[in-house]
Amino acid sequence: MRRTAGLVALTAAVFLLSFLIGRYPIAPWTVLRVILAEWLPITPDWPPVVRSVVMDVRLPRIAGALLVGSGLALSGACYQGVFRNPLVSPFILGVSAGAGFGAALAILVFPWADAVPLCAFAFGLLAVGLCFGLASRYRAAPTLVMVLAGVIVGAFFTALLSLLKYTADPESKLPVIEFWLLGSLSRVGWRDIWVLLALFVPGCAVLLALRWRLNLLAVGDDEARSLGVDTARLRAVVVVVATLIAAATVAVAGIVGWVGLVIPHAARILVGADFRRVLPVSAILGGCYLVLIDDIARTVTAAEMPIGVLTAMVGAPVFALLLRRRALGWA
Amino acid sequence: MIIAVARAAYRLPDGRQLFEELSFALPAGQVLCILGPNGIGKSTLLRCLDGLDHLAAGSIRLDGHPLQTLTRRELGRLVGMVPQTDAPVFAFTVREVVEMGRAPHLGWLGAPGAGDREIVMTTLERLGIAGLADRLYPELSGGERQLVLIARALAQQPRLLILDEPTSHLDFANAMRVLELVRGLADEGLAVIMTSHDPDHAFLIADRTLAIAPGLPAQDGATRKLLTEARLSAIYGRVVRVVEQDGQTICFAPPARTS
Amino acid sequence: MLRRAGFAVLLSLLLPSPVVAAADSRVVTDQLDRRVVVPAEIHRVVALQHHTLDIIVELGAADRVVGILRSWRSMIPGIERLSPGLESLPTPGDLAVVNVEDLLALHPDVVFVTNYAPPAMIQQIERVGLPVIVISLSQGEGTGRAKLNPTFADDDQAYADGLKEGVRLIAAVLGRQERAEQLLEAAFAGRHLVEARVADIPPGQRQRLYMANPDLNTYGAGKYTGVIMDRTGGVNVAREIRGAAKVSMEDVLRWNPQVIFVQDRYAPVADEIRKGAAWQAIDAVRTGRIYLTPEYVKPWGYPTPEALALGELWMAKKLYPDRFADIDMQAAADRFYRRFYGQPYSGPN
Repeated sequence: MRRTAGLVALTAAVFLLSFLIGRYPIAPWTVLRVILAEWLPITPDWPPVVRSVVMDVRLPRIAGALLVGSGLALSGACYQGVFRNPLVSPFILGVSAGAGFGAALAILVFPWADAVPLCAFAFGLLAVGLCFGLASRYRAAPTLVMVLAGVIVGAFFTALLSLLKYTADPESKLPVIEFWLLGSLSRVGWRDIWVLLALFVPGCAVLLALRWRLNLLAVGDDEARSLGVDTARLRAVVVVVATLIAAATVAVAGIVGWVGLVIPHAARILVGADFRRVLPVSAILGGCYLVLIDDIARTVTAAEMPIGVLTAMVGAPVFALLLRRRALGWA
Repeated sequence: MIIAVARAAYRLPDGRQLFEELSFALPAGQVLCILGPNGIGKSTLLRCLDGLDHLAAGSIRLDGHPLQTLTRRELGRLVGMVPQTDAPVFAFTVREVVEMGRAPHLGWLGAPGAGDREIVMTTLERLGIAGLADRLYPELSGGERQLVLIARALAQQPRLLILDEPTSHLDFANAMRVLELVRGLADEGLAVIMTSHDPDHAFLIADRTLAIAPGLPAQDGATRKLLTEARLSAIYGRVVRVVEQDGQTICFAPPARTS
Repeated sequence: MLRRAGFAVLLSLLLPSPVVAAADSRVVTDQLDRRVVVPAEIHRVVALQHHTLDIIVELGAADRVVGILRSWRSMIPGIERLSPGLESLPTPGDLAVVNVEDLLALHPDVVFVTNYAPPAMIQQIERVGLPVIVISLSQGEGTGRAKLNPTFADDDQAYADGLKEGVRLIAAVLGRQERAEQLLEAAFAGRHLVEARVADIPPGQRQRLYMANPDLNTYGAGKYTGVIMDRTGGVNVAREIRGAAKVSMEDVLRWNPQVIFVQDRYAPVADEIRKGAAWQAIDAVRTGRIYLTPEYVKPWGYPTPEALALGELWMAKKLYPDRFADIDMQAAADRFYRRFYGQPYSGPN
């Protein structure tokens, strides 16, 4: 319990401190007062642009990073339990390949702003749906077949994406596509936040309610069934909800890798393998991690660094370090 | 009868018959040992008894109810299955593993509460492994792991305990420990079914035995009466001798003469 | 005065979005048909599009530019010589990406972006209250205008009208309308001169031209490149493809251009072609007709005023020297540069 309180306090601290970071120069004390002025009657002695930076630029971005990071970590942890494999990421069923294709398609064909996240979301779900369809034809080894289906579907959409990139104008469309694929929170606005919340709140509620049952799935299909679990249905529910969350994060932020893979491991090192603790801790750590990464992405250079690049650059060496520790939380 | 199987038959996916006309019944407080050579279908039969696989013909009744009419949860409350081996992927603690046994008693959204944790501790103490409670399961020895899996099955508070070759990965001393434990559980009122490679185990603790010999109809009966030298020789395809020693029945296979 | 107020009220009633011009602001329509409210007086401009930057310099308003696109050096090389202050300017974004906080820190009055900037990027900037004006330098139908490779019924007309519209839009925003008309007049005068002299070249004698960008990229139909080639009495061998694209060596060999043009910003490509084994069979390479285009030609995807004023002339003279023997490119370029860039022209011709 104390550890949870500590983690929540950590999240709050990271969240608040991130407001102080940014390329537009604002004094820390002013930032605090700008935020408080939303509820308390404080007369502004700052220009409207300062409020705009804090509430319209930084707030949606930090909130977006928190939601995307926790969503990815949570769905990654769930996938690792369902597929009994700690090396699995939420993109294993092809959601990122499908979403990447959808986004590229929208960038090339549809000129309106919402087309890209909508298409990305739709094709991400389609990819996972195809996995279910392929896997349903073979009942003997359900999780293994799902993973293989994910490889197939992922490869298929990646090929289609490459085709689109090939036809895209190399001067303009192609860089836009590439930049989207690398992941960025710079486009996050208030509407994206509400949409994310609308999906996350029920989705996370469901996953957190089922988190003890993930332990049962994680020990094996036969054993879970012996213990009275309807494995097919539980697996379907968890995969569908985790996929919706993962697809939503990709639609909003592009392909942000490594968070869904590494953060659950960090959580396991902290609190052990029991999913009752791993799920909430993963969500919290994932959120904090991405907020910090995005802080770096939006301030270090004038050129916005794509966060997908940063998470990989930080995540890969961290993962290598993790491999050297003994108490990984997996056998 | 806790479990009654009538004329069970199983067909493999390629059409071959694995076993057929297999019948037995087991009341509470007794141990049934299933003997047979490799590949005869012992493990498959156990899977069918736990609802993990389907018979091609015949019926299984648990506590009077046909198996097909029971939900997975009801089945989980009746039958506790101890697998031969498992390949743990995540490093759960012993306590967490045994807690999983409470699943059939909890709803879809339920998680173990104080009462369940009580039952888990009691089960661990009963098996003498309470000291392992906070150890990581994958780090335990084979014998310790077997005991933990038995504890998990017992945490389900089943009427029937099924063990698939519980001693196959154990050394002699640990094997004896487990067998004595199983006998003790039966004496406390549990019905127990176990498969074994070793007929001596049947002689040691089984009240009844189901003998599956290749080419012959499966036969069940009281162990002493059923396991004659002739039957054992038929099961294993070689000469088997049965002797009494210090009130204990044992069997052995004389080495085939080479000259 | 009353009419303008009445018009504004009428406008605000008719439009779905509340585009109401306050007393110290006005409404302009950009090249994506967006109605944008901009301050009446513009003092601080951010140009995230290189053609716009070029035009702003030609309109004599470069002193108002406070931020430019990051890739300006590669997109429009040489502009730093014509407007020295540009080198030290901050770069809060690029054609398709922007750092909103950096942008805000410059306190711009208006931001110019290209028509293929992602809609999400435009939204990002508008969200913090900055007016965004989209420049396409082309005119097409409806939503096609938002695509980089639009399908114009008539490329020539689309870019001609688009250039006029774009230059006038930028000038209107900056209050340099009179200068804009002079610029456009000079541009189209150059064009008309060429038009008159190549009009009678029969189609069979038009020369086959190829625009060599790095890595076997070229411009196909739908780009200003095809227009300039067409207007100078040539024909773009790559016209069977649309837009900017990478082609294969076999295509180039099949097309067998008689003249190869390489833009000054991609100068190393000319050497690669001269030395490349596969290129030797091509007419243009055999006859040594590989030409680097001087700075003012800018035979890009989009037109610029100097391309019309000088570039078309230069290219026509290269292709048909006898018809343009009397034209002194150096003099013409120098005249234009002094007039619109405030500097003499001393580069190659």
